[in-house]
Amino acid sequence: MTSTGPRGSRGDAIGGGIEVRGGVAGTAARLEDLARAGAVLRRLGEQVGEQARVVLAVLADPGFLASAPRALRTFLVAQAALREAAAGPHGLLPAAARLDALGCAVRAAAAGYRAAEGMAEIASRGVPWTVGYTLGRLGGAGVGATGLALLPALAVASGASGASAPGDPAPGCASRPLLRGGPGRAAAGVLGRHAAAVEVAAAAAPGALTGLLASLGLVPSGGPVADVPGLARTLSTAGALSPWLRESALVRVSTAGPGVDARAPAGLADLAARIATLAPDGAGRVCAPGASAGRARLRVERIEAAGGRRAWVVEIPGIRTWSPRAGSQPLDLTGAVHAMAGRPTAASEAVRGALRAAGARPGEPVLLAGHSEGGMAAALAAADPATRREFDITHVVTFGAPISGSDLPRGVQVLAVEHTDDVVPRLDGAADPDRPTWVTVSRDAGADPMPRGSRDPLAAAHSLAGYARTAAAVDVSTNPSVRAWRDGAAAFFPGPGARVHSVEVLAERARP
Amino acid sequence: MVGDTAEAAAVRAAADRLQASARAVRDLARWSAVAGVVDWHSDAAARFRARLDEEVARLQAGASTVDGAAAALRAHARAVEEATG
Repeated sequence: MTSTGPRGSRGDAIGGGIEVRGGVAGTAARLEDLARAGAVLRRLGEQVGEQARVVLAVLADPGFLASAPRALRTFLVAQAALREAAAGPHGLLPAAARLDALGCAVRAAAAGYRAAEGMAEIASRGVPWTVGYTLGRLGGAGVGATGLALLPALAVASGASGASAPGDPAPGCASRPLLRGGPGRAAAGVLGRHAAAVEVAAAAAPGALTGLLASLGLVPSGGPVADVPGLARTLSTAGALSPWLRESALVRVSTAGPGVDARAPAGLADLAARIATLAPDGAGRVCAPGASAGRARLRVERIEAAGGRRAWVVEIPGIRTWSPRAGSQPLDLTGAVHAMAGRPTAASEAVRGALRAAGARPGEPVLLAGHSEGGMAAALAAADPATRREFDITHVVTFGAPISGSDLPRGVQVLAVEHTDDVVPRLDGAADPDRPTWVTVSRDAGADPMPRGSRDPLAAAHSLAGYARTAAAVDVSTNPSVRAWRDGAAAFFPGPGARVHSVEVLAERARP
Repeated sequence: MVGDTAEAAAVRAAADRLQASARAVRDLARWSAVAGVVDWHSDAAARFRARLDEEVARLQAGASTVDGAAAALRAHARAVEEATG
């Protein structure tokens, strides 16, 4: 069990100020180990105390005391040396006491972390869940509560699909904004200013659903819906009963051409910009050729360093279709719900297919980078044992993706970039874990200029243009956790001299 | 030849016990260092490790003071033998 501490180091002021949590300078502890270490130190303190008693016993030894009159000078010297060994500055008695105190402190730290974790759990999940459950039990109010909890998702649908872009969606763009006009923009503005409330609402939603079902005399199979992944698992079962949210997790992958020689990514900002070219409006709405024909477009970059060592970067754009009915385009609402549930999706399978199509080999390091649902697909692929057996996924970068519930192995180095006023990364209803292999960088993008053609604050907070600005701050950050992450990812950003081949891959969901 | 006495033998036996005690303290110092190998990352963890390093060094120094006491006892045992011889 890993504890998360309350600590997060304030980030650098560069680029409008970023805040960094987790990573090598974050707080993480295996509480059982910590408590055991405390107990061991206390036992060692006791044993040092036993050795001190051996020394004290010699001081009081009758044979030693009886020898004093025979050689008083050496007796006094020996007596002083014994006192020094027992109770002097380097003596055993003080050492025993200090070890015991250190053991107590470590055990107290473990207990403190456990208590803090419990309080955080209650505050972040328990209280919202209970409030949601109570509202849900009230029946009609429960419907309202569920609606309230789902409102952020609807608003995200609005923001992520370019809610206030003027005119009709471009040809091939399947999604239409759900919150339109003045009231929609106003609602989006409120949500953007209070994005943290979305996390609370998301945490309340599983309780609301459980309460609503209980008020109808229904008990979810598997017990109460505990959290957002549990809620997503419940929703995703709809696919078995209806045409909605039916995820095949099967995908057909083909390369869009022979590929082109390119330059190596210069850094995270460059990576965000490259993903944005897969989503030309930089807000998640993909209207590019190929993708508009019902396929998602991913990019795979093969990076060959001067010594011939190869590394791979996969770039995955965000959601583009909000219909609850799954289509051939895998980056859709169905994929998002199943990804939240931790189940394989066509998009996550597309990542594996893209690496195969591009010629990646086992043992070559892979970085997966995605925006929004693309980030969820990246995390899901990196957590998938079958994908990890085939490819060496060492790094994941996400921009504005709700991945806190992802079961990512500790061998994968995660960098999650989030905006505090972006509701999308908060839809998982929980904060990202604070651990050495997971760095979360956040920034308030509220003062950023709006993306071109948009007046929607939600879209601005979630846009890749904004995330590229945050990523630029990450690129120059001196925060120890960020620097350690960048050092570990150096193979993907090799600078001049490396040979890079870039190929675009089209992915289409297949039917069983 | 220096003659032996019951007092000198008792003092030598005490010195032997102290030397065994010094060895035990060195072992405990090594075990203390191992106890610090724990999956804990934070500023507090860094302070803990620094403090534990200090304690391990102090325990090693403590073992040396016990060795010193044992040496002083042996010197005293010799002086007792000389006085009775």
